[in-house]
Amino acid sequence: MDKLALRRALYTDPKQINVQQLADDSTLLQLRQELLRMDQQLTDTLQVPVPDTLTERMLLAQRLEQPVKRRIRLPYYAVAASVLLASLWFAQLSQTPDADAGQQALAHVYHEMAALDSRAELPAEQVNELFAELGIDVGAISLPVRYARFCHFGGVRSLHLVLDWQGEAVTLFVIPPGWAHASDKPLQFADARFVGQSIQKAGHQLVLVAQRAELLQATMDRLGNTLKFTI
Amino acid sequence: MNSQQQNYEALVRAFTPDLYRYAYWLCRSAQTAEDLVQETLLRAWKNISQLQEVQAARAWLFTILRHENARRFERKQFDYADVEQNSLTDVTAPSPEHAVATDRLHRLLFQLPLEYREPIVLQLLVGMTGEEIARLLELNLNTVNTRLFRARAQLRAQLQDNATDGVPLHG
Repeated sequence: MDKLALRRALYTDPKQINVQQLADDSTLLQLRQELLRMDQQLTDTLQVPVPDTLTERMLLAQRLEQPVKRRIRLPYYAVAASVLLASLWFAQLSQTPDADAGQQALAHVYHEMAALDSRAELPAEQVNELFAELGIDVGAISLPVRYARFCHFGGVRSLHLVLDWQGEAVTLFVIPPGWAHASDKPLQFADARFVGQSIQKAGHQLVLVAQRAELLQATMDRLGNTLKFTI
Repeated sequence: MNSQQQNYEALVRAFTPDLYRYAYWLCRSAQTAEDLVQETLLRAWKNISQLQEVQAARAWLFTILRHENARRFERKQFDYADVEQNSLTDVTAPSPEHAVATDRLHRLLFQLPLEYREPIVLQLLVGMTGEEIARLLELNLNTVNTRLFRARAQLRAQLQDNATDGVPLHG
């Protein structure tokens, strides 16, 4: 290899050129040393710290089949415990004959509790873009939207929103056609903290969750007048 | 736990740190890197039956991550995911990490064009050979070698410029 080729090879990967190949050229030997030193510094810099509990959160996300966001710093054992609990809970859910809209919705709401505290209203056009991805023409959704993201609802990419009804949070899930547990029969559900309602519209499942039953019907009536579905 | 689940969990434990670091240097944002790794691993789980050999796992996962990153730009989706951050984030704007990176090499790496940064990260961080990088980036080996050459040459020149400006060498 001539000097030019050796120099080029050093820049490509200094570890691939051994000292013997450069024995008669002090300039190239010095260049090799410099590049090896620089590579060591680069390697150290590239090793940025990995966020705490990242691996455990990735495993939890797979168990839940939806992304897991880091909201608070959890010690390792707390995240490991939550992986176990989530696994048990969802294992139980999947063994129930109907892991229905209500159970799925409540599980999501509890999992994303911080979403209920969102305050700032999202711009309408950006909310419309998310609905458009599901084939829904929202027109002018007549309730403020405080939170909006896609989630995996029972394995189906769905929309999770938090609406504002006169200062109170109402969660809305919009599940596109194709969900295994979709039902055209209206469903009511509740637990100690939340009440919920599920209906089907143009093949899409709409699931509402709120802390008061009065909010559900009022919201559903308002949405019914604004949501249009493109089939 | 079935064997597929066990294999998947082994992959996650083995590769999450490197996937995160690679994603970080790809998109220059810790938050986006986390999201990318999450989407990558969820997609990997959905397609786990495609992975025939354990030896192919690294390349397979990094390929998925690159595709997820490309998809991020194709969607032009605003980042609604972080509920504490109510203002919208433009994913192409410099990240907070970029703004505050005081470590000189960190800044210089951020400043490298992506086409140079990606090969050098894959070589030094992940330990890929030129051939492996070429397959992952779908380039020929000569192109990869040229980009590695240019990355090191640019970094070396900038470090020397900083040295002559009187800025003390870091480390």
